[in-house]
Amino acid sequence: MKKIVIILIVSFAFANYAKAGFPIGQGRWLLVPTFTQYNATGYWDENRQSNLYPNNGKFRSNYFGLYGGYGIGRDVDFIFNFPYVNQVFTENNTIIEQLQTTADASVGLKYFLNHYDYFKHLSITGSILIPMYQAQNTQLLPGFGSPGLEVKLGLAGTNTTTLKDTYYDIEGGIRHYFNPGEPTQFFANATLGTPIGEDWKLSGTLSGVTSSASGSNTTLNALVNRNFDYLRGTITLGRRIDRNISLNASIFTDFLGRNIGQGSGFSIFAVIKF
Amino acid sequence: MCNNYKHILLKILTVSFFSIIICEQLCSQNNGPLQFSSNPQVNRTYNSSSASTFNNTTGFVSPIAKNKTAIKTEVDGFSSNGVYTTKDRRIGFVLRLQNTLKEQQAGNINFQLINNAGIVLYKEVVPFLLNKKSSFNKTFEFAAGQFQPGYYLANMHIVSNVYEDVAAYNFGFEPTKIVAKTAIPIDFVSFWENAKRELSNTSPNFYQQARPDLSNKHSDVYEVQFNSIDRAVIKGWLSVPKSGSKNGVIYKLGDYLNNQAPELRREMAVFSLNVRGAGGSNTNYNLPYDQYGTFNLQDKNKYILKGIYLDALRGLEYLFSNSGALKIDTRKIVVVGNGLGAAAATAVAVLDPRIKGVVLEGPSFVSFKEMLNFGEAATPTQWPASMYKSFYASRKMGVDRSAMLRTLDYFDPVNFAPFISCPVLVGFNQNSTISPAQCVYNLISQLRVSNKDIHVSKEGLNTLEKGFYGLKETWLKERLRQP
Repeated sequence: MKKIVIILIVSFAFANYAKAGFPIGQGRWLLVPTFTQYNATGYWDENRQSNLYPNNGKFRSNYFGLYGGYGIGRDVDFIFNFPYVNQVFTENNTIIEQLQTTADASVGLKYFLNHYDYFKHLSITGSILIPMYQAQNTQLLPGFGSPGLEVKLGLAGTNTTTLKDTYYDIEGGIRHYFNPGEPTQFFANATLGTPIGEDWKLSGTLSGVTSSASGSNTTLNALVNRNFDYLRGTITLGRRIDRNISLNASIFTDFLGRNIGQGSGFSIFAVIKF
Repeated sequence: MCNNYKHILLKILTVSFFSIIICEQLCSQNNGPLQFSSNPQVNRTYNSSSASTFNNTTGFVSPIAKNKTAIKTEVDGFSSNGVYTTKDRRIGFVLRLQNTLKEQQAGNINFQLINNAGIVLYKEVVPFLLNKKSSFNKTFEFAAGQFQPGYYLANMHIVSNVYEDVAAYNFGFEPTKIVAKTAIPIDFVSFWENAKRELSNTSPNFYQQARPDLSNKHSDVYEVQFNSIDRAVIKGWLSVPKSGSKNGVIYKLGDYLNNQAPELRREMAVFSLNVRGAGGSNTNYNLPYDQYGTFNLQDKNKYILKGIYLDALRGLEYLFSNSGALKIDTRKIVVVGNGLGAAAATAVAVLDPRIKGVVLEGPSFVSFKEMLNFGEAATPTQWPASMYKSFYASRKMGVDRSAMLRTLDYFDPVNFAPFISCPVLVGFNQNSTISPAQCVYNLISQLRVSNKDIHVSKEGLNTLEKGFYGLKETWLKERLRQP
């Protein structure tokens, strides 16, 4: 089996929902339970060439996550994410390896630097990443098994003139794992959404990650590739259920990559505010 | 409720006492105009060629005269927002005159600097000579030490052989440090006690009728009607979301004679009231626009503002009386007053403190004395000062300016403000001609509640910037705990 860590993406790619850059609101809670399934039958090699896994290899990841937050004040939100993954890699319909575990949890604070008339919000978020599992010398992994730190800048807002009523959420940041040999990752994502009628919303997201680690890996999972990048596209359709709840469904696919699995999947999540 | 009211009365009496003392102290400190030096080296510089160094146009020009095109006037303040502090090295502005004619013009700039008391602090006559198509710049600059916190009006009456017009520059100095000089009548409490008694002795006859023609799939609309004092029949619109068992309420009080239409929101109920004279509530109160605000001003017991405030209070009573049937959560009522409605909202917040918050949106009819001072100092006299000036000038009712102001003290939101106990959001425009910024800061200075948000709009005159409305929505959701 090619040593490609698809799972590392999965743990984070769904940690935030599409309007995470907006303030939660003082004294209010936000909960986003999420289920995501990701399937890959191939990978991009280090030359960005697309290949199939040998022996009819297939990778599947089922991700269960609870993202949420609490509005401490008008300018400060507490945020968290608790993921659980179920991964399996098969060749010729035979399970080669399987994994069920909690993944990297994150807790942090989001501070709004400016609300810009309360129609757009500039924020900075700092989170610590906590591995909720023991690092093992296996090929399927929920993460790097290392604590880390994530810092990101976000700009989210609602357009009031051009593209009136559409909304956007742009984030960019850096994620660093502290253990020796573990990578530093730069990531960015951009969402543009529009209401459809009174109850529906449609949004598109482009997200990308580039991961690099210098030196040799001396820790467990030395075979895991820490140098990769990818670009993913996501379309999300959401429906308002009532004033507190909306349900959303996404489909996504990987467009470009290097040293990474090439797959697609879907996601279902609820946004609950109270 | 009874205990609450007694508590408020006690607070009113206590604060009244101290307010009177403070007022006397303040008044004793301000017995005359500020001593503005005429030394040009100290407080003003003459500069006829440097206007291009000032790029911020924050003043406004009020064209009134017969020939408004012979000279183009422009006012460039040193501050980008027309507000100065002690840290500012320069306070003032440049007046630029541009001769648009192909002939020479000669004339004078009659400059006056007026404070919030209507006192002329400084005046000067500046001669100018404009050759054809040329310009003339005059810098008016003052030392910070000469100002007290407050707003000031620089009036410039510009006259040439072919031109006459007025330019003005309105600016504030340390406005957040403004402290109002309150004048709460000694019988303020008993006056409003009696007013409430009068209201309670008037049977409300609450009546509501579903209006499916105005409803939509998310909200039901009701037409509401009730009686208030002095035979007024008050009407309004209530919209209630169909979903949800209990809904927070935005209780809207509109501006001067503004006809309130139903407002439908999916997340909360909205009660839009037309106080007497406004919209459909004009039975017995179909008054001309320029007499509405002074109707029965000769008698504080019959003055229209008393009726307006009590109409608004009865509207709140309606919400409490019908909460069960209408799925209204009476623990979540926020009063949103606009313009004159904001004045009424301050009264409601004091006379019935059960509300969750109050929004004062461009409050007008506030701090009457200074509103008159500024309004009358401007050329022409600004509305609504002009309306009040017409009233006392006519002397039809034997009421002079002082007597009129004494009556208005019973209705001044500045005098209600110390007793508001719920969170407050105030949004206003610092350039407003209807409600000068000094007046609103007077109101703000009297708010004792710690939970208050202030938004100052700096563009335009009597409109609020979208930043206020963004804040307002955020604030309403916080108060009503809406997602």
